[in-house]
Amino acid sequence: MEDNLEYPLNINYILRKKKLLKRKLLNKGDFIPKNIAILGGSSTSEIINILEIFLLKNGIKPSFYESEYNKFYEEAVFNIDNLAKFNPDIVYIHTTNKNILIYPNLKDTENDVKILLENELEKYKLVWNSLLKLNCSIIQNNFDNIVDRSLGNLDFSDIHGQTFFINQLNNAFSENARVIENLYINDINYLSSYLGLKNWFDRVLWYQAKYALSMSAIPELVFNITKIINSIFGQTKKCLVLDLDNTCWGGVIGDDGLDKIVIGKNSALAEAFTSFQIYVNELKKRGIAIAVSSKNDIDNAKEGFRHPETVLEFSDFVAFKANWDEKYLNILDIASELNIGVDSIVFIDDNPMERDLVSSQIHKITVPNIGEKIEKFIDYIDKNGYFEPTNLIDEDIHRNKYYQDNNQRVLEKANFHSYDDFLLSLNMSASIKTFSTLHVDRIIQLTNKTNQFNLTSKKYTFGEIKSLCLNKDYIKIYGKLFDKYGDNGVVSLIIGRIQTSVCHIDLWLMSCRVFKRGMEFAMLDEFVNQCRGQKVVEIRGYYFKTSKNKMVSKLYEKCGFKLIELSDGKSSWALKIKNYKNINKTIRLDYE
Amino acid sequence: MNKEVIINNLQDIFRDIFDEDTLIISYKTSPDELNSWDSLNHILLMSAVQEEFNLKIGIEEMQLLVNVEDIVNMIINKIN
Repeated sequence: MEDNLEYPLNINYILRKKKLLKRKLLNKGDFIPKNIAILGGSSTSEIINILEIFLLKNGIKPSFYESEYNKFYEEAVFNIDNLAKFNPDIVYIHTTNKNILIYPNLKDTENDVKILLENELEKYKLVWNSLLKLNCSIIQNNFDNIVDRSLGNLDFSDIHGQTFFINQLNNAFSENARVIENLYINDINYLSSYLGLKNWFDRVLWYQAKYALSMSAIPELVFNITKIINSIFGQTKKCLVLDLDNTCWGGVIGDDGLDKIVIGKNSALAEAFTSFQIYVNELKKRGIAIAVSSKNDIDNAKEGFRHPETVLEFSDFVAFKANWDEKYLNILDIASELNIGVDSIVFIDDNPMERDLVSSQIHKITVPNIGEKIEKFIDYIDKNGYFEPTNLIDEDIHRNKYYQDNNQRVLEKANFHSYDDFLLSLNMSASIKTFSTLHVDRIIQLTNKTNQFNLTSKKYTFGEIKSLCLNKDYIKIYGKLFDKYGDNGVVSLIIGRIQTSVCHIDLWLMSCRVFKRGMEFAMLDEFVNQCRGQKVVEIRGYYFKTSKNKMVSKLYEKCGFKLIELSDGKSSWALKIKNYKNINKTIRLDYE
Repeated sequence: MNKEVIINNLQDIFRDIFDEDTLIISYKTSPDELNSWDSLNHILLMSAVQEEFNLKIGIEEMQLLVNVEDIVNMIINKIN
């Protein structure tokens, strides 16, 4: 339900269900009370209704003061005592271009226009100066562009243009915001452009009810104000934790290798990953800590940031966790190393299962549902305002050094029942069968692409696969895995060669998409089952070390095999079938 | 879309805007009968109707819609 209040906002839901939303949010309890005064230059009642919902979602329970219609100036300047009694934490001044009463006349000289500008500005300066006595924060809209321009494009450049006038006023507003410490600009000029002026302003609603923006723009306006309020109250995030494969670059570094990952300018997709890295780098430069939590071998992971076209480098990260542990454990480590709360962390991962696992195990972490399209990731970070700053100070710009120096590790206890419980919640089922010539293409592809979970890294030609499909002395199985997110397709293969009642595993591989899901156990169960059918008494497994398959060096041991030979990166293992009991606990077998 | 479907959809909108899960509307339902049907809620209703039925309501029209029957007739005229 609360997803509707995050980017991308579900505008119609918010407008229609606001009362329901309010009731549900109020049930959550545990709010910080704040006094918020709204001084309007146009109608504000629906703005207040929606703002209340957004603030409740952010743990703030607001009491509101609402000025009389279009009395923002009078109440701030002449009626300040009344406002003082309300004791506001924040005053929001909702003015728009509708509040500019006198625009330049076509006969005005440059000097006349200057005076008009100063007069207009003076009104706001009086408002701000008066409010400063209340010792509260002031959020002030700048001006949206006008929709009707009788001067056409000239309206922008001619000194008599209304657009020109608005741009000058906006510049003056930013100058003042740089000087007045408690003054924050709500940039509706950007917001209205982003939404499109024709969506931002609704003539009918203006004529009818004096709303200076459309109904559908109100949630967007309020969302933006909430980001500023969050920032004023120090509720913004501090650390961005990133996955690597298909998040920082396209492809899987462990399988594809440095020369095959997608980053740089060589394709549209590569540019999209590069843009993402550039955006992250911008955050980093202004003091946001960036960290990595990825299921990868550490050496492979680091290698990705040595790509000639990478933007981010290994040294940019304040914490770098690339291993086969669960990501939430790594993230808890990162939080304690940096000495920040998990509620200050935003986690970005293209894999919905990883997102779900992290958000289910760490209650207060932020894990946006970014989907899997790289070109959309930035919006989810940017438009949610997680890292909205109110100002830039030296400390922010140097903060990353602080994090890097501060390397104390305090282990937090994981909020966890068991990993198996989580796996069960994925509702996985597998279909494991003998493969036939129909599957040759996918089998060749898997044997060529899979480098991490691959015990022997044996390669086959088209002809070899075809002939072993027809040979009864081979046990050859493939596994398809389904979970609540859908069909993962053919993800695992085992090929065994039978020689005088011993079966030698020539190939065992699994796609990295399904690591740590228990699929290897389901595969072995079925493999043993087929061996029994062929009167095999013993299975021999082999591990041939490569630069990328360290993660499976202990696989046979884990599956109950006994080591029989170990030499120089090669090991041989044996399993007596008689004593074997099925080891898969989390995946339902689907025999169709 | 027939009258029955329209009034059902309309009823959902009314229930959301007035936050009454069990509200039953009839053709005669009007601001006189429904106290919270004030000018702001009228605007919210009109916004939701425009969105739900994918139509535009002009300024003049909006002022002529004084009960549910008017709204239903307006919708039928626009979508057929």
